[in-house]
Amino acid sequence: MKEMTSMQRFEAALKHETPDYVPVSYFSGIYMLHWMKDQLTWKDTVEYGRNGIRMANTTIKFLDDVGGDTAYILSDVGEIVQGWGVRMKIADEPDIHMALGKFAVNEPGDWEKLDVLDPLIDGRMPTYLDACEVLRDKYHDKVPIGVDVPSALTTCTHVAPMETVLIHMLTEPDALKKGLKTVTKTVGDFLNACANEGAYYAAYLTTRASKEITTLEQYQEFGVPTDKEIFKNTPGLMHICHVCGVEPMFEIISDYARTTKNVKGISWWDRGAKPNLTEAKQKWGKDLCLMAGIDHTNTLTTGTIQDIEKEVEESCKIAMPGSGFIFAPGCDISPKTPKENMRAMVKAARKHGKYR
Amino acid sequence: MDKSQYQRIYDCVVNGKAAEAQKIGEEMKKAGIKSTEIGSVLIDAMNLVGHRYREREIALPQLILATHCFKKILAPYTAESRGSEGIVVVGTVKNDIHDIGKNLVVSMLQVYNYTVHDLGKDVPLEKFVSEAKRVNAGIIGAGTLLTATMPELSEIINLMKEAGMAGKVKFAVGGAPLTTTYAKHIGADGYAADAILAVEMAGHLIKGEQSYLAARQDKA
Repeated sequence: MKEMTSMQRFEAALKHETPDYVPVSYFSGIYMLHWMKDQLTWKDTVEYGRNGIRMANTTIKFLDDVGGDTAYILSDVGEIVQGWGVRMKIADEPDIHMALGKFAVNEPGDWEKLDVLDPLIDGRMPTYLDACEVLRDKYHDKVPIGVDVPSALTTCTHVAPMETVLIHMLTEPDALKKGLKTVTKTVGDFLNACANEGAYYAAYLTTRASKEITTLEQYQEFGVPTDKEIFKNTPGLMHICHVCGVEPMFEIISDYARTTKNVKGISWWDRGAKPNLTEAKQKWGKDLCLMAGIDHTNTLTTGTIQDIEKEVEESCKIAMPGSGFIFAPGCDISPKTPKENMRAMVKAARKHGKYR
Repeated sequence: MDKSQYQRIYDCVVNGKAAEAQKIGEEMKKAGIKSTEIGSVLIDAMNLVGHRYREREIALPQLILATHCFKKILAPYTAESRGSEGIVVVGTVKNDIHDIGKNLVVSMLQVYNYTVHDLGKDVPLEKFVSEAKRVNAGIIGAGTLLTATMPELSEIINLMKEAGMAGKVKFAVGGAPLTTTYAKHIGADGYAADAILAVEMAGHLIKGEQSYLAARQDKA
């Protein structure tokens, strides 16, 4: 079989067609900056986040070094919400994310004061779009460009403190829904702008779709309508829903895959959350492309090269049959992960992830 | 406390009646109800809320609202708490602003008569150690929700060693991505999977047990 490009490999996995190898992806997160700080001429996340060319070049350097099949652009969660006046708190470590500081919504009445943002003008969305454009020019259609964009409900928990949003779900649902409407339109417009600049898929962060955070009924009321509207309004982008909780709502994400054209998969912590990879493959593997395979909290961080290879081999055996599998850690990689472990993960995935 | 007073407090927390909570606390105090009696009802109520949460009958919004009511009812009494069970310094590590779980732990420990020094969120690591020294704490509790900030927990242990606290002050950790395996790996003395287990864990550590890792059956 002729060797596929990363894009062909990734597309095949999403369509449950047989690729040459299991595609490898990861949420490099702040790890990327931590690892590369000696190679970079600028000093911190703030400078990274202010310049799209830097963002793209960092992604390229990291992909060249570690390997893998996706050019995934690190976000610092502020590029949208800064447009509403949310202030980022600059971390005191040069290689760490900025954190959310002052919020735009504190009282129920603040939700209706939010305006729909323009991705070409507001916040730092234009910077992120610049990064997409540079990566598109570099990779053309050879490597899928991935963006990570929070769902509308998750974005609300960046516009207001999470505790406030959760209390408003119970005590001020109408006010919250007014805010959600504005946020939904903004997130959709931003995703379309990313697609226009070359993004192929979104790691759509449905981080609140986990049963220890909301009930199914609550997510159906506040999350599902907005998620579905965004999927419908972003036909040019594939979506892989990422849930970082311990009980991801597979039933809802699977329904998205069945009822929309562009939701293709789920990314979750298969080694720490329910279901594990075996259960997920059996129950949801036909509807969803599964993006998982190694424990980013233990094996990848503290394991030996042998531990990593063993876990990669085990995951490939479970999830490769029938395709629909992208090998990946369950969430952001810890900055203390040894370089050798990352390289070993990609190498092992190539070794054990060969289809023919 | 009579049955109707008990039921009123219990119902307020279990059903998240936020608007009534502060008033109930003030009325109970005026009626001469002791904080320990109030605390006992609140724990009963939170035990039910915690059970429902663990069984996934409810989720975080109800849990947070219950905690909100819990704090409001207790507010008139908090100033009088003697905190005689032990001294605990608690915070969310630097670069992490998630504090819902930490706040639950603080409230629960206060109700169980611990003196809690809440450092808040995004706390510089040195602050855990300096504050523990200043207040002569028995336990330092640090939490994080982010994978990216998990390594900060082992940095606190290093700082405790440098400050000569190792073996004298216990170090406990908590947060969604943590497990007993991780707690053991970094050398933490304590781990609790939720706020209710945190009280259990604190009791064991304060009594001098070397370590106590309180995992839920479904997580370890």
